[in-house]
Amino acid sequence: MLFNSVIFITIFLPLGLLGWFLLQKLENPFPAKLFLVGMSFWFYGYYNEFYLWILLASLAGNYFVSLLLAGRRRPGQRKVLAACGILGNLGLLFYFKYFHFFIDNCNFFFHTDIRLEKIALPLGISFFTFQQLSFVIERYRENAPHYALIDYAFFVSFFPQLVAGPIVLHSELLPQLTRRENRRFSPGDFYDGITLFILGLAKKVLLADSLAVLVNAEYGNLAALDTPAAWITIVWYMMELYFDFSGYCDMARGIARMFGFWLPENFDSPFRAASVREFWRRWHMTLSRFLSRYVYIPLGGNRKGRARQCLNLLVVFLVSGLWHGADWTFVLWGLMHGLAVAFETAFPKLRFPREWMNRLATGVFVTLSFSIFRSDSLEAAGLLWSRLFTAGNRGMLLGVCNTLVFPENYAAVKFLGMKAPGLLNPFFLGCFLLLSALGIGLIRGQKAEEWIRKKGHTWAGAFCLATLFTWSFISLSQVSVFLYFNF
Amino acid sequence: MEEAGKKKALKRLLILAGTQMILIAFFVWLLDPFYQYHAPFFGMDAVLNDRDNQMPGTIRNFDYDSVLVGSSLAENFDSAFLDGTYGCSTLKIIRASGSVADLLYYLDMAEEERELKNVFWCLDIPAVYAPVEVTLYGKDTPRYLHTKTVLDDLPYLYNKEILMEKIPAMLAYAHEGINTKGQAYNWARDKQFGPARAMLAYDRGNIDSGEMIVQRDFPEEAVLIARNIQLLTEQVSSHPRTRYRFLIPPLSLLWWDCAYVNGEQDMRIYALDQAVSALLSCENAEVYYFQNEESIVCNLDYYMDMVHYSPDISRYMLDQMSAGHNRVDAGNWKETLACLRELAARISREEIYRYYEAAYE
Repeated sequence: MLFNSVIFITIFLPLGLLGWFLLQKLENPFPAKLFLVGMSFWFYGYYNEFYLWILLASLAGNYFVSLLLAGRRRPGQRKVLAACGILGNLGLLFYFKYFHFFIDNCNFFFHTDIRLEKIALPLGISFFTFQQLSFVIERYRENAPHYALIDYAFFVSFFPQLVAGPIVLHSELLPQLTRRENRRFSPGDFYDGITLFILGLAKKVLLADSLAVLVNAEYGNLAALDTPAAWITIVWYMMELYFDFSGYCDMARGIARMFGFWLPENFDSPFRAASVREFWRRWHMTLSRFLSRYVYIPLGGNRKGRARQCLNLLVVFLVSGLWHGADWTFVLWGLMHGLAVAFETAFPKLRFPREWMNRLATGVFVTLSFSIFRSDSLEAAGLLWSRLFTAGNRGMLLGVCNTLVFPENYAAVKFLGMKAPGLLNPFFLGCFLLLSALGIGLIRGQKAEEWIRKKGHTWAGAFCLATLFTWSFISLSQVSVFLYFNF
Repeated sequence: MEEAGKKKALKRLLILAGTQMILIAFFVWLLDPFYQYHAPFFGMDAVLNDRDNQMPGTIRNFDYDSVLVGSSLAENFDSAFLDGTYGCSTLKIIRASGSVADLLYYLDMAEEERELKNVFWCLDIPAVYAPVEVTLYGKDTPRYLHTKTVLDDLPYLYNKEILMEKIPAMLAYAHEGINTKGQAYNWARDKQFGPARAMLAYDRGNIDSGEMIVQRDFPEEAVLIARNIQLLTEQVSSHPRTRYRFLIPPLSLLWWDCAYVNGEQDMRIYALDQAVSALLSCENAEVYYFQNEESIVCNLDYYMDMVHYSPDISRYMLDQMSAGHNRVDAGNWKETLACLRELAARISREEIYRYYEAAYE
């Protein structure tokens, strides 16, 4: 189920909240937990029942490992069990996400002809696998207790964070489940949650999906792009990805808040970063935290000299690239970021004299690298880069702007088309400039929660929020999926 | 913000959002571009320009006693002419494919609440060998169109496209008088007719005029033809008080040549023969036949592709029907069919080359 769907907003969410808080009135919290876990399974299995079985199998497997670890004191035994748990998780991920990629590359490099049925990629498998991986490792390190099955099922399946994160640690979520004050409905929490949800919904439905109209059209037409059009396309894609994913995360955090839970932040104004390293401290923060904790530090982190640190960083970003998708485009994207961060680590003083220059350089690098991330193949990425730097200006800007046809400007477009066709191009250019300014302004502006805190309680703020909600809600007839569901 | 402040802010937000939601739903209900709830208010003309979305609503909520049924070939018929000629009030019921099963689904819906005086049915030959399953509610079709409950109407009441595209378009069309009254679903505006346009829709391939193409057997189509005809005759005979007037429209020489080139000419003539013969045996049915109108069929000035003719032809067909011309009966049908066979053969032998030669010149 999608957060940005009529069924979620009108049935699932109200039902979930009602059931959760009504059942909390019972002395025993078990029925409420069971209810929420059941709702989460419904949420996950809504589009494909088969995915639910995979989630259940993964959950049961990891819980079993945790159970076995509970009874083992000898380090050797614990190591074997932890290794089994880690390999089991990675194996699951490998089979569903990377097996095709692996076979394709075997066929390419070894000239074999292995054919494989298409393996459906379960929604959010990378997220719930990483979350459980972290739990197994923490269990091995004896930093996590063996939880009751219902609590563990809640930790893995809690629907706001199930399919696209944030990647939550057991120590963040599960203590909240038992906290007494979380068992009562709080209008304050509900207000914080619903306002965050509305802003996230608007980011996704009104902004990201509008930006996607141009981006999808131009990525499907790479060969025809000239240089300005290619740059516009990649800048808009960067904005689309940001609003899409951060909008999702705001919604996830908002929903969790309505239920009385805090989820960690995933974004902290990433385009204010003045280096690639800083960008990763601000972008998809829970993934960076996971990779730092479970890949970078175990590899030695910065404790074994600068050269080894750079190598470790490279490995981390290659893992990050592969985590995002089974394609060479993601590997290359990860490699670029790894090299950039390694370079910054090796030459920390090699900086532009002004902060804004560093920010600009970081923004340009990130935008360029994410253009590969969006490309369907390395060939397509190569073609796009050739357009970015060698295609010249063939006056395609207006053509690109003319893709911006939305229900919002439909009446104006039709009217101008009939009465003043000569004004259509300037009108589309105006739409383009407006959306660009809005996107850049929001990226550079204050965070959603800050705005809510300052303005949300006023009549004007409440009117803005209500209008954003109704505008987003009436836009749900054009349902689109979240970009990060694929990862 | 304190808890009390948040409570107050939440109340404000819920009141404002709730008010906006109610206003939006009321606005959509009031103007109702798919006519899901009512015919137009305030004496406004109904704008009918979105057939699949508007059809169920108009069938349920409009006031009429006759229907004009068919595919896109029937869309340019002026239903006001039928009203004036036959003293009735006619609603157009259109399905792009002209599928008999789909049109019967709509007819059943229409007959739920009224007995129809007249059914004017523009029967395409392809509809006679089309699949017999109802195809109206696919995965992309909004459910609310086909149900009477309001419980599934949220995607209609709260829909940006309805609010920002359909309603403004409806108001503009009503203001300009487009697709209103008898011109419901009329698509001829801004369309070009003539050989240059029509020939774009047809590629004959490299076939010599002397080359004989074997016409294939058609066991599967024969089953579909029998099923469709059964559906049609059951419909006609189960409504003896309704007058059915079937019009067989003139499909262009391109369509007939295409039939020949694909080895389907025998099948298509068989379908036509079976359908007309069966309908002629029904007492309350009349058949008006235009396929042998050589001056139309062989003149691409009247067409924009293989089958779609100009509004002049639509008007001509209605004129002829109202005057009682072009009617076939059991006595002259076999002779008429023989003429069609002769015409079809001549089309692929001679007539089609007039246009190919013209194109090469």
